[in-house]
Amino acid sequence: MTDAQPEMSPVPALEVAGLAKSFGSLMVASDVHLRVTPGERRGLIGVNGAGKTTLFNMIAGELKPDRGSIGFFGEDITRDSVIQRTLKGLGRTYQVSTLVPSVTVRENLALARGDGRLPSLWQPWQSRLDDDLMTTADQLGLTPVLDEAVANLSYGTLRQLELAMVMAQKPRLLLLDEPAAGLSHAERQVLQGILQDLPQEVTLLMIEHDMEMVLALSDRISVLHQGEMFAEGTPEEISAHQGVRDIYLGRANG
Amino acid sequence: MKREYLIILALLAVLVAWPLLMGNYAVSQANRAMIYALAALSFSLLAGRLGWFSLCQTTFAGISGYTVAILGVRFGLPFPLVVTLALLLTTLSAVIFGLLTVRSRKVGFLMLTLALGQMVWALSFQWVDVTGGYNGIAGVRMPVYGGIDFNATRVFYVLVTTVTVAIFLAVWRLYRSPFGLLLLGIQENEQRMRALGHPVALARFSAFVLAGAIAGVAGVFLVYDMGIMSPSPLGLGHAVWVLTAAVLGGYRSLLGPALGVAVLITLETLVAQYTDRHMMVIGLVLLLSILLMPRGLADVLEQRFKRKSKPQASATTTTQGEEP
Ligand SMILES: Nc1ncnc2c1ncn2[C@@H]1O[C@H](COP(=O)(O)OP(=O)(O)O)[C@@H](O)[C@H]1O
Ligand SMILES: [Mg+2]
Repeated sequence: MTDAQPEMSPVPALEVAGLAKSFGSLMVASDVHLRVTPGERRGLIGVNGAGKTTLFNMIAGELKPDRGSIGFFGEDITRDSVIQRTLKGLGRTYQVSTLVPSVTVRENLALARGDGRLPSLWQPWQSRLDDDLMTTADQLGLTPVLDEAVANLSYGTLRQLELAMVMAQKPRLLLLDEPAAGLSHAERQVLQGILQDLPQEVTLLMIEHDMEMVLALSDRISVLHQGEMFAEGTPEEISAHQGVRDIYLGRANG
Repeated sequence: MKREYLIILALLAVLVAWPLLMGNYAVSQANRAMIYALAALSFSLLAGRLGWFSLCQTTFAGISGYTVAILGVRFGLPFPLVVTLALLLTTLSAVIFGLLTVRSRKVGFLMLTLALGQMVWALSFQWVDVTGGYNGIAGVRMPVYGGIDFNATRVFYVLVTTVTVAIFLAVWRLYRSPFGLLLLGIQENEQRMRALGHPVALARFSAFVLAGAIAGVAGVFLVYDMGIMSPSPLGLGHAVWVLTAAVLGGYRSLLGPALGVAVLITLETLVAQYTDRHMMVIGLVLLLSILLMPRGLADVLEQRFKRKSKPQASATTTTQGEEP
């Protein structure tokens, strides 16, 4: 009732505050703040080695931050395990994806959508494949390779499988780590279409070097530089930002 | 798919025909082989699905065997109660060992199971009051029900075969279940399984307890087959024997461990006519099988079969996971 600005600040989908992380003497994050509102499409850019993947690892719970907190739809998840975060609705893809290489795409799909409980010891694994899952797989062009071993997939197809599996989870917050890397131009178009068609309630935080795609998809863009958020703004603001241009011109472009 | 069912039917036919066609010695050898096939299956469930190489599966069989001997001979409890308690106690041991090992990986797991196995082995000959020390506990006999003596080789065969086949079929289903798939996933990409929302530690633990229970069944049969329980089945030699059989046959496939045991026992029987250096033979077999067929006999046979039957372009479906 005494809220100063109830309309201006809805509960954020993701609220990263004062996050810090060092690997030995290498400080990758010193004081990272990031606030993403529900339903937002946020791009995250930064030169190679800026610490973007590390930030994802901390948000997803795979890496413990040295300091700081992570809020997820108003709940402090800083101390939650990976699986707890997944069950609360956080989904992510990996920059380098491997999944389960020795089995087929179909079997990998059957491993999507864990629910925190032991899966059946008696049903055939195929029972986990339903229309919903197969439709997602089809949208991502996986139908022709369903019976291929994952170890034999091309890099692009692997990325699509990765995405299908995390989308099947129906996460509330989706973290994508360079989803377009290694994709052909045609595959990028498909990917962009799929991301554009994501249900509005899904919040998206996406690391991507393909600026065209980031600019087209993002509502807002954050720039990570030297362990902190260097800039944040609309795609127009970021593309016009002199400091951001300097960073990208001054260093090798990812 | 269909070939799988054919193989299983053929095997069942052999198992039915065996006691009808073969002599007493061959039938008793088959009994022993099936008991060790269960132990090797228990080992392979962990090695093939989780990449966990255990040296304490024979220990579980031993715990089960001692429980049967102590309760049956010392306390004279009735057979059904003895077996139930033996399986319960073995499962409980597996729960305790599982809690100790569930966080470990590869070498850590191997060393932990080695340590646990050696501790129980030492206990088995030092706790003389209970275990009878080196002499063990003799006089372990199956009951006679309705005029049927279950100690008779062929009757015992029917019992062992029925239970062994049932357990192999159940594990076959397990390998093709989402749980079996998850175990493979954990072996190859544990972090990802967690991120997909699967309870990785619980799955590992459950597999360990299940494997322990299977070894427990093997232990029950083993002690009745031998008629005496002594420390020797708990020794490292037996653990290595089971490991050898599983590696030889192929621990990633369902039938590999059974195949390995069958080959190894046949080999030992043949060699026994010329020398008593069993361990030399085992060592040599392990050496050759790792060098010549790292994925085991079952895989070699399967590849041979595949090439002959259909020159299918699907080099993709690897043997891991589903093909027995
Ligand atoms: N587990 C780790 N141990 C040590 N250093 C790491 C680890 N993960 C990342 N780094 C280092 O942290 C820096 C940031 O890496 P990363 O987060 O992958 O950057 P980005 O994704 O922005 O390219 C790099 O210098 C990288 O070498
Ligand atoms: Mg990265």
